[in-house]
Amino acid sequence: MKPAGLDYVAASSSGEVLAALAGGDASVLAGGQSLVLDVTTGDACPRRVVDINRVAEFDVLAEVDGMLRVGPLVRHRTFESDAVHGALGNLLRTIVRHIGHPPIRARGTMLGSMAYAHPAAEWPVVATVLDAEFDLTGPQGRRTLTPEHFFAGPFTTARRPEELLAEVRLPVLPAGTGAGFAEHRLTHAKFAETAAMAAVTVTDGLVSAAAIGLVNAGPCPVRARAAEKALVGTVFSDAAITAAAEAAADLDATAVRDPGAGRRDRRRAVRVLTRRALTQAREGL
Amino acid sequence: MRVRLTVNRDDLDLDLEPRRTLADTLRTGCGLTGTHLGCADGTCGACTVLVDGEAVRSCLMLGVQCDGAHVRTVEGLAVDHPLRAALTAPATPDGACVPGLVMLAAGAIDHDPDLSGDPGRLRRLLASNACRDAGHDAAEQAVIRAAAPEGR
Repeated sequence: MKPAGLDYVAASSSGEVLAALAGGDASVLAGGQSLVLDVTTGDACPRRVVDINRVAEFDVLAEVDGMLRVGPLVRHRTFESDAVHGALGNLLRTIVRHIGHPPIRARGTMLGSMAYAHPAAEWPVVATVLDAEFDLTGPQGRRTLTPEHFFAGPFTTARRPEELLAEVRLPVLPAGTGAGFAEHRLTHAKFAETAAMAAVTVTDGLVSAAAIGLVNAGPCPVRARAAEKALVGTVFSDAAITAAAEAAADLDATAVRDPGAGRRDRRRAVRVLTRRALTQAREGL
Repeated sequence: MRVRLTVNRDDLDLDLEPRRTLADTLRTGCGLTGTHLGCADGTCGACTVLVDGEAVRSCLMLGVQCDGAHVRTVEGLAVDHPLRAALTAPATPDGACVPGLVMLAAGAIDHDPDLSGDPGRLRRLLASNACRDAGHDAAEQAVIRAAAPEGR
């Protein structure tokens, strides 16, 4: 059940990481909360594991020119603190407590979650909705991708095996932005069946910007553009929230069918959760 | 692969296969079977130990990752550590989950001593782990009682 002959490299610089990845068939080990399990169960059979935990330069979290730069070693737990200020910090704090448990959040990383691209994960949706920038480094240098190009499907991204997800940049949100997140899961220990997130900016009494996202409502993280369109320009009323939630369920979600829920149930869950996330965002203004 | 680590009070120099988890390393490599494996997939937390003071699920870490680290297991709790009382509490039928709960609490209380007198926060933290039989509440209460300052 456990693979023999696994090679382990503890890299101490980004150059060493790229050199170790260059051989191919290698996996990057950051928090390891998914990778070690996948290696143990045989779901992943890399020939080599490249541990990046000793690369000090990867533990970067800084706000530069209106963007929050997140490096590969920033743990989920960091976002529980007030390390990130303002409306973006509020949004990340609202969401992070839905990820695993404290010991998992102490080790798991935001970029690891993005690179793993679990369909029920929270961070990939945040990045998609906020139009984050994804920096990949590899033998050919650095390239920057949009979320639409980075996320390619469940557990699939555009990262090539010899590349490292070196940085993700999230845009800082303007003051007057409320954040909301609502999810459904069978028990606290399970992954989200479906979830919705919202960051809504109100200027002079009207919604001036809305970022709405859906977790596990399609093959890739879903940006609920129809729901956003329904909301922008309106007074942030109950009726506007209901209309946006209907749009999210009917137009934005590709309802995934699984043994636990039929398509209609999933759509209903998207509608309810989007309404809750938007209501929470309004309360947070 | 040669790995040097400190487990409780012992400095060890081990030859580890990289594929071995920390839980495997402790149980079979070090003979410390107080660290239990429940689900072995990160859900239950029975295998929780402290690595450099931080509670981790030892089934989700490779032993070789701990090169140079200080690992504390339930065997390393001081003889007079108050949380030891939870290990012998009558309320826990098979005791599989208790060492993990105890180490989770021990790590958190080391960081924040006020936690020992705050049953609500402690209970929320202990929800990180799951008991595999019907005794979760009893096991949790045993840890909370042992941690309480007045229980000392």
